Amino acid sequence: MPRQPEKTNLLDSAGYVYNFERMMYINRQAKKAFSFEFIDDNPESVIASRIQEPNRKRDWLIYTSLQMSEGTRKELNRVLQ
Amino acid sequence: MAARTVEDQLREQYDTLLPELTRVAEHLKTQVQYSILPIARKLRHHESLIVKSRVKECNSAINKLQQYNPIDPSLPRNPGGVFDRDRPEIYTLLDLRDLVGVRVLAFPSGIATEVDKLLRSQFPDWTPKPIKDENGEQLAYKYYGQYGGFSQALPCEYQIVSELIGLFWDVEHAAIYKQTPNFKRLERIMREQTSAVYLALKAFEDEFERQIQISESNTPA
Repeated sequence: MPRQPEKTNLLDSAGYVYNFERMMYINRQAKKAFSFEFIDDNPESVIASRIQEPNRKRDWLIYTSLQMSEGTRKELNRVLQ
Repeated sequence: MAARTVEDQLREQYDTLLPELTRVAEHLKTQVQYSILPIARKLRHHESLIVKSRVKECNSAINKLQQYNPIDPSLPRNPGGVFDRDRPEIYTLLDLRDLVGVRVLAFPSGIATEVDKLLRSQFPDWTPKPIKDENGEQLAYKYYGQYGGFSQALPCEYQIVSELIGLFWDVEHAAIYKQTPNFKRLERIMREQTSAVYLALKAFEDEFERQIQISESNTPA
């Protein structure tokens, strides 16, 4: 399913920047990242509610619809710092 | 001493494999060239058939392996494109299907279909995985399999593609994949423009073939 511009506009206006290397929309201040797959697989309303969701953890909040191993999550946290 | 990274481990494996990969690439290319001789011998002056081989470069192989999902390699990709550093033992370059690749470039593209028929009989066990564009239209024949005869069988692939599209891929690959930092994720953003290029190249070939047919039908025997 092609990514709809409404979804990426939502992310853009919330301060998310597309990262070529990670193929993710990233907001360093919010410590949150959205993968391409998550954006493709979910409706605009879900993206909007995830943008609003506060990250109270020390680690990054990574939204992805693919499974991630614990080691991958740890490494992604390291490279996103 | 600093611990060896997954990348270090894979670079070492690459160096060990490289002489064998180079031999296999030459061997596979030669077998393909020999197999398609019946077509190559009968080419008319405006037709062309080129066979190229390559061994995947080390950094390119490591980058591709980073896209494999360590939980399930059949998943489309690995979120974030990073290695699971807790489990370095799960990574091996031999998981890549295209460590060695041979590409047959054909012009006009009708020749590609003839080449495919000949090569299928030479590599009957290889798995087809055609390359398609955004609309599901086939752009190239692609097969992968194990190719050996030396100390071990190695993962290889061969492709048969229209020469115009193959040459476009060469330029695109050099611009997107061989840069530092690498722009490989740009391909998803550029796909509309890439589709337009495919359409234009196909239109050129179709019209060229049509004009040749008209010209030949008007030429006295």
